[in-house]
Amino acid sequence: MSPLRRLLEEITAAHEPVSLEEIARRVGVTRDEAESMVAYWTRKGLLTTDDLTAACPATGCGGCALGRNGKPGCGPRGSGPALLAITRSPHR
Amino acid sequence: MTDVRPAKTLLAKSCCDEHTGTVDERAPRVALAGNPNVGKSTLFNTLTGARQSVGNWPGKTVSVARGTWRASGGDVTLIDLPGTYSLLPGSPDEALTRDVLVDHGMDGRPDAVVIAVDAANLARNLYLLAQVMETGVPLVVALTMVDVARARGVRVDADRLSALVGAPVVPMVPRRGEGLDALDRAVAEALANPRPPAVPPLGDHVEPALAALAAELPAASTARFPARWLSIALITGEPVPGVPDGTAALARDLGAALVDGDDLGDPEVLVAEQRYAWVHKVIADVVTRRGDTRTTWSDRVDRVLTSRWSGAPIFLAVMWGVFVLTTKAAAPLTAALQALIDGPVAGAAGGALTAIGAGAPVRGLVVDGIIAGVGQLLGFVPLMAIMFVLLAVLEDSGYLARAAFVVDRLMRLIGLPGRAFLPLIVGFGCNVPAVAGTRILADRRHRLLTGLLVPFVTCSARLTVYVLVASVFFGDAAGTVVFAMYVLSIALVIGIGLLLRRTLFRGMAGEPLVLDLPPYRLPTLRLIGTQTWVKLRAFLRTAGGVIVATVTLVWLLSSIPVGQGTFGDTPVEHSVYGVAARTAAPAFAPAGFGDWHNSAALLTGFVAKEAVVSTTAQTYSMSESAGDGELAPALRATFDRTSGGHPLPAVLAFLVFLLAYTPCMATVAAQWAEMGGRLTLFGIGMQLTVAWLLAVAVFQLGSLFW
Repeated sequence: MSPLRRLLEEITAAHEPVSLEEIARRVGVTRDEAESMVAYWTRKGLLTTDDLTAACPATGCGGCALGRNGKPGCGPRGSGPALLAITRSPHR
Repeated sequence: MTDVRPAKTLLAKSCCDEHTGTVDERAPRVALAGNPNVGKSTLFNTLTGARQSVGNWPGKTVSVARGTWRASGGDVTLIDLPGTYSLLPGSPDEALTRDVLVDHGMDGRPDAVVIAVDAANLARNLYLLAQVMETGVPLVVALTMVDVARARGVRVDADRLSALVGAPVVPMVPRRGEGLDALDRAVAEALANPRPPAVPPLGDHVEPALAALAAELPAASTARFPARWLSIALITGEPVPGVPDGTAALARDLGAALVDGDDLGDPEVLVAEQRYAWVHKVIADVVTRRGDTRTTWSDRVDRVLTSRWSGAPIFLAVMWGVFVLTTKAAAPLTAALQALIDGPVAGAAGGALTAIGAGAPVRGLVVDGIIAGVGQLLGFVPLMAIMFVLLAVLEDSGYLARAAFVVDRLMRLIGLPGRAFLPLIVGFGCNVPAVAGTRILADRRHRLLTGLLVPFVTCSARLTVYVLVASVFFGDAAGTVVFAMYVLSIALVIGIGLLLRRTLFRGMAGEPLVLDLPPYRLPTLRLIGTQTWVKLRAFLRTAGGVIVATVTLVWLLSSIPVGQGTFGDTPVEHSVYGVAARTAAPAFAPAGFGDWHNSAALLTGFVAKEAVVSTTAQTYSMSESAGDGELAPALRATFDRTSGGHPLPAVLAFLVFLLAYTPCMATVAAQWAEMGGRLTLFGIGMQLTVAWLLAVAVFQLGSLFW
């Protein structure tokens, strides 16, 4: 099986949270390649990526905005490291 | 130059064009392509300077910049194409880049292409390069960001890459002007002696199909499009204009045969697999990495922080540290601020109101209501600021991303899909967007279960009450008590989740999740300061509004007498508000806090938790039982009395009730919109029942030992 397909399988078969670094290791590609492959599957609509800003938990109720483009919209987006969640697309 | 064509109109001359220079229409054209953010525009600006113009491509709505590059061999018209990750277009910008590269019938097509490739992120860039190579256009690779790659310990062998690509590769740092001369020479050579680059092989499975189709392509189509690109496009199902129906049908059949028995059934995936195989081989051939100790260090730390065994305890220890540090550091500042507001500020306001002849009701509203309520809120400013700073440090360092990893693992215990933890995490800030955030879950049952669990996530508005009450009763251990509330909140989410999953929500399937952990880094003062200020301002703005509104409402209701007295001149216990609170108070007697002050605070807490502290201050301030605005002794006296001599279990029971019952009306409204009325009412009933049972259990068990 090709690394591209294995990466998709590893992500869709993940039974517990796993880092992209670990997925890249399992597939036998560099992290850079894994990122590129995730981008490919995302374009194909088989994976979705969500930029999770960790700014939300610290924001008070007063700072919340009710949903933003159908996603949580709590507080300002920091420019710090962004956690990216990659999941199988719910629409496929 | 071998092909000096008549002048063509490259850019539509419209009202919106911004011409800052002139372009020689007879000069050879070179397109600049590449992924977004690879230094392409920097290179364009460096080469063309001020000799640029911006306008729509003829017949398109996409705007491109072009400029004159004074190259050593003569002027060259440089076209800055929109950045793209793939020639399989996903937007009009990407479609234009694709069309410019492949459609020979397009007006203003370039004579050669410079493709910017980021040396620091080679894989993604090489995928686009592979696609561009398939078009057969003469190209030059500008290997940008070599300084960044070097700093990361990555070295790219440009000569070896050039041999594999079949085109010149020029390492450069455009913003420093490095590599410009070499690029000049390479482009001049590509224009003088144009030749196609190498062709990335697409494997034994795909190549025969491409060859079979290529043999049947009509001359008109291959005159307009590169034959190899056209074959790939047709077999992978990409629509191409002007292709006869018979050819398109043959391509469909060949594509279908390629994916016969393939579970994905998409020929384009087969092609992409081969391109990635080529990318992998090229990276293995041309990239050398220095042993990067930072990566090893980061990996080791991650292994501990995200471990199944040590991740959760470390997360809990870090959060305990945050709460203890916050409460200890903020305590003296909070006390000083509240003393200032309760003393001089309230005294001055009362004096001023008396001086201008304001009546007792107005003085009550301003001094006992607004100043007492807002004063309590302002007292919490140091606390919130310190906590926001600490959380910003955790966030900017990259630790909170690891914490999300740990929390996600907990969510899986209750059978929720990985992404369900997103709204629950958001809930620690505010439950309202968390409920709205359940929309990201595709399965309706996942959405409903998550929506029912969100109210048990303790939001930051509840934090102010925890801190006030815990500081009064637990002194130095206040931070630990607050921390315990957060742990209980997580336990409640898991416990209630398990219960609901085994009753109302049986048979839900999980969903995978991969978290791309960001690198660790040192937090910056500027970022922490900005984040803290923005969050604090947002909290104060809305909390202030809620408090002023509820304080006014409470004042109004507590000014309306029931039975005796007149408006504004009645003991609060005998007002509409006092009577309602008194009626509810006995329900809390088994939990040890059956007093009307407490039930009054919980009543307004149903509207918004931000109002609990202000209502507590207001009711004690208005009540005759409290002396001179001393809130702490009044609170202690109340809990001593209602608990029968076991105030600490009663206080804990009060905090547990506050944690578990309905968070606020805004959350109820959000739930109503997302889950419907029936389930929302069920949720409210469940929250009140769980809160009451837990509070009674905590008090009854606690009073046996404490």
